Amino acid sequence: MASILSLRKVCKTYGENTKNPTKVLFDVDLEFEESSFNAIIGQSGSGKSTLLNIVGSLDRPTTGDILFKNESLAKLSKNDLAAFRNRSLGFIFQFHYLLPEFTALENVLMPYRISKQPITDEVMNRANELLDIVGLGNFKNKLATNLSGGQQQRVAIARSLINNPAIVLADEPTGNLDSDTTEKVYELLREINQKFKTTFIIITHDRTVAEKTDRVIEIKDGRVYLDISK
Amino acid sequence: MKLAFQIAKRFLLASKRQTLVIILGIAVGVSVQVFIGSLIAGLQASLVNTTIGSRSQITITLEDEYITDYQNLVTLIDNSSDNIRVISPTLTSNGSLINNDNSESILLRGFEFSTADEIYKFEEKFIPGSEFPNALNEVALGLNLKENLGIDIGDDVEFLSGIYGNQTFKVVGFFDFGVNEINNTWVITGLDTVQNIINEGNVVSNIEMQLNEVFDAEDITKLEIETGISSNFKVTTWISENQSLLTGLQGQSTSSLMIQVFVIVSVVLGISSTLAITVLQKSKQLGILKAMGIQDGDASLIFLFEGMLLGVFGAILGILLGVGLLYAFTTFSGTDIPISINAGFLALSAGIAIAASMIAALSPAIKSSKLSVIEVIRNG
Amino acid sequence: MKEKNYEEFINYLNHEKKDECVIYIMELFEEGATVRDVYENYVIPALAEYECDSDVEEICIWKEHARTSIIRTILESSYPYLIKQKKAKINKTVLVACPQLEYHEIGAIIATNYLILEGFDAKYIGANTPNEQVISAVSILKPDFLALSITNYYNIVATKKLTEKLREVDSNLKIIIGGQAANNPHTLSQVSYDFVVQTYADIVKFKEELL
Repeated sequence: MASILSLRKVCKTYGENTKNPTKVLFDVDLEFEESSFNAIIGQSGSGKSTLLNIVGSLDRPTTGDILFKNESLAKLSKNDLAAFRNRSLGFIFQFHYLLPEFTALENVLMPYRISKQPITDEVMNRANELLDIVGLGNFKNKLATNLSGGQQQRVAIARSLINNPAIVLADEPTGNLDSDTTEKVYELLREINQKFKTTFIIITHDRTVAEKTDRVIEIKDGRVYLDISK
Repeated sequence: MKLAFQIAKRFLLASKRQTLVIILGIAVGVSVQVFIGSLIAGLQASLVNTTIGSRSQITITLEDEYITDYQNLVTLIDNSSDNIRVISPTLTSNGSLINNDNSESILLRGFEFSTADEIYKFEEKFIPGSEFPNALNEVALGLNLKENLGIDIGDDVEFLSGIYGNQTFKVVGFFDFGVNEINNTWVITGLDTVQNIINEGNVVSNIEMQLNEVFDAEDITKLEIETGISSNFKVTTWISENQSLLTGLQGQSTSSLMIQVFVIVSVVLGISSTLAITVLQKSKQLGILKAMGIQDGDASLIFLFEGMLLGVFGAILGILLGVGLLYAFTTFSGTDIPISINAGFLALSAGIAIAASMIAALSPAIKSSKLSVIEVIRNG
Repeated sequence: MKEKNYEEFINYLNHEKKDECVIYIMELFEEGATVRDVYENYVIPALAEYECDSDVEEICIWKEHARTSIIRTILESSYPYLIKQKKAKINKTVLVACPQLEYHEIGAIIATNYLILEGFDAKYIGANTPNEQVISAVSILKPDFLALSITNYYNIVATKKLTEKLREVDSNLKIIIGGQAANNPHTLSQVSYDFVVQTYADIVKFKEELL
């Protein structure tokens, strides 16, 4: 299958110009295939979050490059990167980070509105459909703050998908959910992976999630320690 | 743009109390500005009006000579500047008025009442029963002369001049300028009465003017009037004769301006620090918006819009509050200081408040654009 | 003939008829079938070819567990025949284990029995064996080989740590890997191992290489 994202000799050093630079990632080479379902595991401080930030173009590698569909991200300006994230990436964070001032539906539409395109019936239908998929069809006009943790996380999942991203990056998406909700969220992600052929890269501590993915990458001391697939 | 505006609106509505406090802060600032500005403008207008409102603001004379071709001169000067509100030729002479045993030195002033009344507002100052001394040898006198000479309307009075001889005047009225100097000495009459006495033909001694913008008197004199007329003419302005008044007025203006500037500075500092806190409060939201790909410029716009919205509502409330204060002041203070509420000034105050709010939002806006997504996400 | 017999056995198994299954296999042994025949022709196909005909995942799971339970009884019941049929001892010890959180142990039990059949001194030390337990067993029993059976590929995560530790503890120990997870060469390459053994034939080949 075709590679959608590749990391080439990615290194990351924090505080490069200080007395004590900290090297967090060492020559990471990774390929992610289209519509694959990947887990990244590793202990805290292993560099896995840094890796996800770099993959998500929220942070730039100190050296090395990232290719999205064989196009280098290193050349893109800050604003181009923002536009790239908006178009091609969906984010799901542990602390769901909905905008509490907006309703579930408005939150789902947010990435689309950031793209500055006019709201069409098609997009509205898509937003409603996504909320239905995540089982929140009846909650779409509720303010984000009035939803439970699991519901907020499901809104965040719907939001990550509104712009039809090629890749969804999830940082501990089930980190603060109970085990029943974790199972539901996992199944939802899997269903979306199969339905929309979206590539998933999920950081997780949760064995029950990780062992169900197609590929597990373990990061240890800033290096790929283990890379296994089914 | 639209999204940034909507987010700004939601952010403000989400923390209603904080928003209200900032709006109140701006409103208090604007109301102080409106109140002090209007009060000082009113005081100045009233002071200027009582001091120079009923007198010539620019006067043209010829040294030791009468002005002969004055009609052409009046037309020439009148056309030289838009700022001249009214222009009037006058002829003045000295002498005494005698009634029975009473004698008073007076200033005999001949006017063209059609224009002179716009300068001196005689009509407002006449005591009841008075008339304009329009006919030849009719006069109106300063109120103090009424008692000093013991005469009344309808009486005749003798004018005595060492140079030009005697003339009998008929008293048709008295006026009260509220200034002793004038009430003691002025005798007003038509231009022709004085011309008749001095017997020099159709001449005047002064050409007097009032202006629309009184503080521009010096500029008008130098730039517009003096360039068109012979240098034999002597032009004096109220400013050159009232330097201390002008300094006083300027001092007032400056202190008023200072107060307004400090009010704005404190408003700016207040908004700026509150919005800076808002950036921190909303850093999670900003982080996720950035992760979702909002451009830094649009993220900054959110805070500029917040500043603008706060400024607009603060200004509206502040103007209402300020006008209310002015109303309360005039109603309850018992003074009759004429307050001038000027729509232009209110609009300016509002504009300054909005601009100041947006400037205050600038630093939080820049701060927000520098906010790193990773920091936000890492610190949860 | 054998095909028809297998169908009959599978039919009992699909209906969770434990008694019929066990009697069926016991009869095979009585008729002179070898342990290897029974495992290769009945037990392993029954495990490998299992297809759940229900769409409901929950039903599949308990049905699979019921089937596993029957198979387990068959494996235990075969042991007396195994003792009779095993080859001459070759004086090599093997510890067989499933690494931590690996609960699928049938493969490991079959492998242990096959090793015993071929004359190895093989001990099965259990499913879901925590890494420190495996290390303890290795350091006390000092086997020539440690065989790890891994079904779920995720358990390679723990296996990798275990093998690294084992190399430190006992540099002479040879590590054998088997099970479904070992079928993916890339995944297998992540672990430090000496041999891969998946079938009886592999064991025979492995034994030949040793001698």
